Amino acid sequence: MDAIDPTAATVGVKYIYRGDEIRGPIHKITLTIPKMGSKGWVLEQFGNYLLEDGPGILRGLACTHTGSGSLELIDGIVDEATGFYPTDIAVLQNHLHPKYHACNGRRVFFSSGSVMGMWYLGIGFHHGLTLHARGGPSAAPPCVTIIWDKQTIIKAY
Amino acid sequence: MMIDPFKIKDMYVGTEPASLMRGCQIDQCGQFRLSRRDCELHSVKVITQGSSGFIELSDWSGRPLWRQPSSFSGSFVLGCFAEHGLVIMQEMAVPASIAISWREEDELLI
Repeated sequence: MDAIDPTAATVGVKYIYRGDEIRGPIHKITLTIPKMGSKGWVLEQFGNYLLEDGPGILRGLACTHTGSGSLELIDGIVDEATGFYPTDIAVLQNHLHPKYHACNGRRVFFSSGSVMGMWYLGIGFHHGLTLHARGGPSAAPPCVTIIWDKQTIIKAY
Repeated sequence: MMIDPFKIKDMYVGTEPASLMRGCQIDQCGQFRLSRRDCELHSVKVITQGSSGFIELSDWSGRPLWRQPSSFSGSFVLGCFAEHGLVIMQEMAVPASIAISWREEDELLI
């Protein structure tokens, strides 16, 4: 069961999975704006990565090596000052809440361990795209190409 | 087979104006430059898996776009941007058979 820090009830949630907190820095991945196609980036090391800091679409994952550990993609940006996803825990814990889809810290993809193959997703994210690749019993990280688009079209409705 | 990182063979693949897609198949080890300008890596198909080595696709700036540390057959539709060119490197004891398709902005053969 996920453990929630009770002191953070009003400010957000420190994302904890099976007792493992997110540790270490969050590396920001900055890519040039593509002239054609989507943004693609290869994960080759464990860590926390901020792939996109705005709304967009997660196109898919191409996993060519499982390695060990887990892979988690989250619609949200960690507040580096606090180490929390600034969100309302009550909403984040209730998947049926009408505001759940807009939560900062919403999990959009999770696999433990990662599974080889091409995974088409097409998932929209509102706040940003954060990747947590946590280590497993061996030190071999998965090898995954992550493909996403930054939203550039402003909806008029 | 150890490949020379400084020895890159250029491959020229034409297209038709209807689709702007280009494709080729590689069955040998080495480094091949498929495109010499901005393009979109559409897909990688490993048709026959090789053994004891790796396959890597990167753009001309050296940033990896797709990597297979141990070869297995499969189809990967990526659609990601390759800046200034597209390079494939295959270093295997027994080479894999790989089909790659990509898209450039026009039909010019550069």
